[in-house]
Amino acid sequence: MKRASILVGMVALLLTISIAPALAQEGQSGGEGRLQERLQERWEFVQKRIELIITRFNNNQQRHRETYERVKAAVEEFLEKMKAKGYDVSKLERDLATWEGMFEEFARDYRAFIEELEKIAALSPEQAQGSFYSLLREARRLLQVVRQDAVEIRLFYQQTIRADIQELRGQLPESA
Amino acid sequence: MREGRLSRSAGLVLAAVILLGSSLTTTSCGKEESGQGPAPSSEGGIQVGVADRSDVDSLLKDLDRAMDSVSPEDFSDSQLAESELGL
Repeated sequence: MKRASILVGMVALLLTISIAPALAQEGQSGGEGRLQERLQERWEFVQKRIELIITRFNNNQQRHRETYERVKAAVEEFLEKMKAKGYDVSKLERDLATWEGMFEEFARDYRAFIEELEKIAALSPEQAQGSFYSLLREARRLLQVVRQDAVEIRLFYQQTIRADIQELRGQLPESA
Repeated sequence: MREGRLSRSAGLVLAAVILLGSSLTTTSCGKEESGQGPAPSSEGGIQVGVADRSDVDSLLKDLDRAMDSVSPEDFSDSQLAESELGL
C-alpha cells in the first residue's frame, strides 16, 4: 500500500515536470496575442481621434480662408471706388497684394501640417510604436507655423490694411 | 349655361391671381430699385460705400467684426495635446 502511493506520487511528479514548460509556453503566447490585440484596439482609437482632429482643423481653416477672402473683397471694392473718385490708393493696393501673399503662405503651411497628421493616421500599429512620437513632434511644429501665419494675417490687417483705409478716410469729406 | 358660369368664375380667379402676382413683383422690384443704401458687395454682406467718412467708419466696423470672428487660437497646440489624442 505504501509502495503503491510512492509510485503514484512519482508518476505525478514526472508528469508535472514534463508538462509544465509546455503549459507555460502556451500561456505566454496567449498573453502576447492579447497584448497585440489590445495594442491594435488602442491604436484604432487614437487613429479615430486624429481623424476627428483633422476634420476640426479643416473646418477652422475653411472659416479663416472664407473670412479673409470676404474682407479682402470688401477692401478691394473700397479701393476701386476710391480710385474711381481720383484718390491715390497705391499704398493700399501694394499692401493688399502683400496680404494676399500671406493668405497663400497660410494655405501652404496648413497643407503641410495636415499632410503630417494624415501620415500619422495612416501608420500601422507596429509602425506607430516606432515613429508616432517623432511624427507628432513634427506635426506640432508645423501647427505652430500655421498659428503664427494666422497671427501675422491678423496683425497685418490691424496695423497696415486698417491704417491705409483710415488714411484714405481722412481725405473724404466730413459726414453730413 | 352652367358651364359658362363655371368658366367665368375660373377666369375671374385666374385674373385675380395674375393681378396679385404682378403687384407682388412690382413691390419687390421697387425695393431693389429704390437705391436706399449700398448693395451688399459680396457674400456675407460687407457693404462698401465711399460717399463720406461715416461710410468708411461703418466699413471698418464690418471688417473688424469679420476679422474678430476668427482667432489664431483655432490653431493652438493644445489641440494636439495627448489628452486630445486619447493617449
